[in-house]
Amino acid sequence: MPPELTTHQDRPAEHVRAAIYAAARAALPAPHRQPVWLPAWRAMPTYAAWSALAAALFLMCVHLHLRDQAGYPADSLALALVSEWQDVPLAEECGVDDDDLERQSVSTMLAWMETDLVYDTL
Amino acid sequence: MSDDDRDIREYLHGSMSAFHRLYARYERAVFFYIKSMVRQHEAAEDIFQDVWQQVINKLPGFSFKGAFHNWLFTIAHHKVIDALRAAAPPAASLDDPGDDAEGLALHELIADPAPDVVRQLSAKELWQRVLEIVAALPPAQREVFALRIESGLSFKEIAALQGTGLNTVLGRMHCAVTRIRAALQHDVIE
Repeated sequence: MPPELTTHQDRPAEHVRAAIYAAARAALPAPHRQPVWLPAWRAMPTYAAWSALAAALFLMCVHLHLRDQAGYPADSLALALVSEWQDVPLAEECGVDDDDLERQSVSTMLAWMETDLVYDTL
Repeated sequence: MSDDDRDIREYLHGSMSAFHRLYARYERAVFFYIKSMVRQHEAAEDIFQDVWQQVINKLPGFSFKGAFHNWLFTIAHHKVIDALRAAAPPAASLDDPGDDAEGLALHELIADPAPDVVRQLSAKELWQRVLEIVAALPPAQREVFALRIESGLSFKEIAALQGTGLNTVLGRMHCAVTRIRAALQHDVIE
């Protein structure tokens, strides 16, 4: 049979072919899970986002470190308050006499020692 | 590795392009064979789709030991037999020898050159006329003719597919060709 004759052969309808292709596609194995190590060109946005985040963290650490070294107005204020508070005599702040405070302290200490002694000897 | 084997492996690894190549390689041949046997376009389409559905289902278990086209046409052959039996149980079976002339050699089949009618009709007209003549052949002859013309199966492979001897297949082909030739010459004379 001359080969040119067969060019007029019937073919199945398009919907038959479509059904066969759909069946072939459905029978394919499920696509493999996407690996974590993406190809560079596909992962560029991901890499860029992580790089930006890392850079921001680094800059923040450097900034905090430098700030600690140089001091900070709020810290200076706190230190000033503490030193000022330490410089203020307790007697003045509470309105009591230094001697009274000392006496009360001694009597408190003695009372505690006596109590401790009593329990220790029971 | 043959093109078929390579395409099957690629398809099983997920390539629809490979399936397309495989399908396109055999679409016309399988459809021609089926339509030659059942003689109805819609019925042929149904069987054709069944054949490919089975091919798709069984491809993962394909052994690659034999040729794909033998496997494909064996599936088609069984589907055609099932369809013919279901459609018309008392009709002539594929095992019906028809007007077989046993014992003819291959050289006898191809010795006679194409008749003049081939040169007098346009290709399309000739093909339509051949299809009409083939449709009137007994099933066994029709099958041999269809398989031999388009599928690329050897007579030996067709004999294995039909479960008959080589001489029987050659005889069927000879009868088919003789009838076609006679019918075409009759057309020209008229």
